[in-house]
Amino acid sequence: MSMLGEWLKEIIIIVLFAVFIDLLLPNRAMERYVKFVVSLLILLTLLSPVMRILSGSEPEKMIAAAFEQVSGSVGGGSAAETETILKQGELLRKKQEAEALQLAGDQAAAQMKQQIELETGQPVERVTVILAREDKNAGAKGQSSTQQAAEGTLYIEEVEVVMKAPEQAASESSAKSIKVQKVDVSLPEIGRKNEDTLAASGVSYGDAGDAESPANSVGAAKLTDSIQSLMVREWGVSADAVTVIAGVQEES
Amino acid sequence: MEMIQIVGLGLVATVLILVVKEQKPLFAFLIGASTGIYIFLFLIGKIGGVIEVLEQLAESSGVQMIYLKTILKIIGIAYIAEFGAQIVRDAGQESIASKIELAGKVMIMVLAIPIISVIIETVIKLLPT
Repeated sequence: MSMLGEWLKEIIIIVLFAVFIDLLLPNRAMERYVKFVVSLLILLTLLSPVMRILSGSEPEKMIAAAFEQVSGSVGGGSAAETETILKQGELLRKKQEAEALQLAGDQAAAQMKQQIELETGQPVERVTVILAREDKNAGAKGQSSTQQAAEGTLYIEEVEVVMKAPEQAASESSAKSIKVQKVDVSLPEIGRKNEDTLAASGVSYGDAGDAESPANSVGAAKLTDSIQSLMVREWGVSADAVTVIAGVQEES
Repeated sequence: MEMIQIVGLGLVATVLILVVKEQKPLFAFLIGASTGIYIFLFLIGKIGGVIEVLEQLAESSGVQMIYLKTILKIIGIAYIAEFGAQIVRDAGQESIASKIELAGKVMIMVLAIPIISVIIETVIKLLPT
């Protein structure tokens, strides 16, 4: 019984609306069309119990779905669609940015490795460079994880140098790791800087390298110092951002 | 009071147009169009009040909002098409005015398509196969 009451109420309200709209309409030219649509709505309201019995679904849901279909095909893409496309673009951009940062970090690390080897004359196991964007210093691991690709200047967040265990050092003190805390230093444009340092490093390799080559157990700290000063000189990284791990225990 | 304002604005605009029309028909048209737009914008607030009341009524009586939305869209299309057509007609471009009206009619019919499709689906289901 309550369903019947609902149905009647709906019909009455819709008919009232229809009359009101007839009054609101500006001119006669549109009247026939508007009347057609409004009568369709009234028909739909009348049919709604039948539809409920037949299909089991609510008629208004069906209409909503139909509307979406029409607006999608006629309106040429709704706002929601644009939203999703924009989101996808943003994701792609972030991914690209992350890849670019990683690539830049790898290249910088390769160059640093060469420079350190030339400078100190000691074999370097690996160099890890972590790049980051300036304004979002949370996250942004250039080497492995994803990072926020925000606009801002690149800077080298952390440099980790792992030395191969040198022959002399291996005999006396097998493993020595000196850790220095990281400090952020801005590096305006990593690409240009690379070229600059390439040019500059060619000159500066030899001089300090000879002096530092006989690095002993005492020389480990010295080695760290020299690597740090090299980093500061060539890459503009502060000494604190450089971590040198000397003599990794490894059979090499 | 507002009614007097609107009528007064219309009268002033009419007199101005009559004066200007002999010398510069273009300015006469501009005055007419801007007066029309002003009155239209003035009325939008009033219509907004009416529509708000209608929405509240529909919400309290449990009518589906999608019906009301369709009806309101129809009214909006009718008003805007009518307004544009009249301005263009004032400028003497009867054919463009009728095209605008045609566009309005087509838009209203597009709104009817989902309703028609649902009704036809139901009717087809009713028929014994």
